[in-house]
Amino acid sequence: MHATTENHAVAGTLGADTVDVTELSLRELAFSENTVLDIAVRRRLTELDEPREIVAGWQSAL
Amino acid sequence: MTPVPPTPAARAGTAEWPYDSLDIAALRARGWRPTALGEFVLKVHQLCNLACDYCYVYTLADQSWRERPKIMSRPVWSAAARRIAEHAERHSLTEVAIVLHGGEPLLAGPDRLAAIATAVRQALPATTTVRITIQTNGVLLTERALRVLASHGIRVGISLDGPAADNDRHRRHVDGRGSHAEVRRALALLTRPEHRRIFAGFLCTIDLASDPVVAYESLIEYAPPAVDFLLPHANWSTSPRCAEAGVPAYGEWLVRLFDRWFDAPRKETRIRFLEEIISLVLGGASRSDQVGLSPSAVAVVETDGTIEQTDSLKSAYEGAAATGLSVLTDPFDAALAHPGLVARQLGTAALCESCINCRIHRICGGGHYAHRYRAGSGFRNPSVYCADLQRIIGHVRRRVSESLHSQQARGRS
Repeated sequence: MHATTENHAVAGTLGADTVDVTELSLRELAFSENTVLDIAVRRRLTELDEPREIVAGWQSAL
Repeated sequence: MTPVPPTPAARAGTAEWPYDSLDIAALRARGWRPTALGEFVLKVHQLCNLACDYCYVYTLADQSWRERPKIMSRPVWSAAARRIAEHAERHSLTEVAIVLHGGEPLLAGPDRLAAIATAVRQALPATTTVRITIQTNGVLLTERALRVLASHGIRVGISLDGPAADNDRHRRHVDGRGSHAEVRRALALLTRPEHRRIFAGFLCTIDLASDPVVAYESLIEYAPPAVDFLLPHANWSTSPRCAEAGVPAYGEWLVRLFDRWFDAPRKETRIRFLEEIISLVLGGASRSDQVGLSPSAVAVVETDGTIEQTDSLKSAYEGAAATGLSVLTDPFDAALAHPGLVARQLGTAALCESCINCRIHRICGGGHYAHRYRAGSGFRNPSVYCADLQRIIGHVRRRVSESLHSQQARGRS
């Protein structure tokens, strides 16, 4: 959350360390074909809508 | 009142972070509160039927496995189940994750694993759901074992390093025989329709001698729901990797992997490491302890009941994962007051000055905690994989940004 608000200029713009998606509309993602990026953006938008604490899972198991 | 754990066994005569200066009382006075544990790794068997040459349990600094019981006993797993339930209740956890691990956990036998799963489920409050997985090398995965695991809702993750030629370079039996053929037989069973729902995916340790695209494509032949690629454990003091630090060979390997995965017309599987980098690049948080600043909420229970920090710390020095606590005598809340676990929940406060001054520190998070170790200063250093992380993160940022721009342009036309 903190990072997206630092770089508001244009959706998809490369900021200091992150890429802003807060200006992307769902319409612009409507042609989604479930690419890696489509799914990642949907995850991000869902997390923005439903914020909850995220913890770091243990890497030595799936 | 939270019990105060004994002073950790930091190495005598050294002043290593976090044990030299982390003031937990001051943190609490400033309002910091620990994140409850939510992932519990049960070391159900101490030994392994393979002798992989990179294994952090047997081949690196810590050799504590030699002194522990080979197998987790009923009193220990019963105590672990009670402590997990106690922790879940105290913190009103709606979900916990249990990982059955080793050594090779299937050496404990499927019936014992089923009994452990049952004990945990029976102990937990009705308001807490549990997700149970086993991480195995697959060699002992039989039809009967799969039936037992499936009937107890235990999902199965397989460790496999790609095709036979690559996997068998490292993942061998003690007599030198490769393990790939046995794992392939196990996968033929696991991917049958009746068992596929419990297939969690693959863990693959990166080997620079392997081709990343070949490794990836050999794994997705089995249509895994998820894959993760792991950097071999290394640090600034005890691992050969430190001599090559600065040359981003692993970063280049990951870039090739990323492009193959990212450019697929439809997502073929999850790659946890890369997926979490994308999430971070998009301003989100990471669900993996490989990257990002999310708090770690993991505790390990060894076969004798001792509570430890994540076992990857065993790659640093003897006793690096120790807490001095045990499920037989201590609640998990006591571990939340241990400097080693607290350090994993501090975000930027756990990073060294040079990391904090780096523009990607919120994304890399300093890298995996174990990879930051340097004898004498401890865990407050850049990752030994710093150059690799910069390479892959920079690449992911560029690819994601460019792709979003072209996606927007297509959407508007």
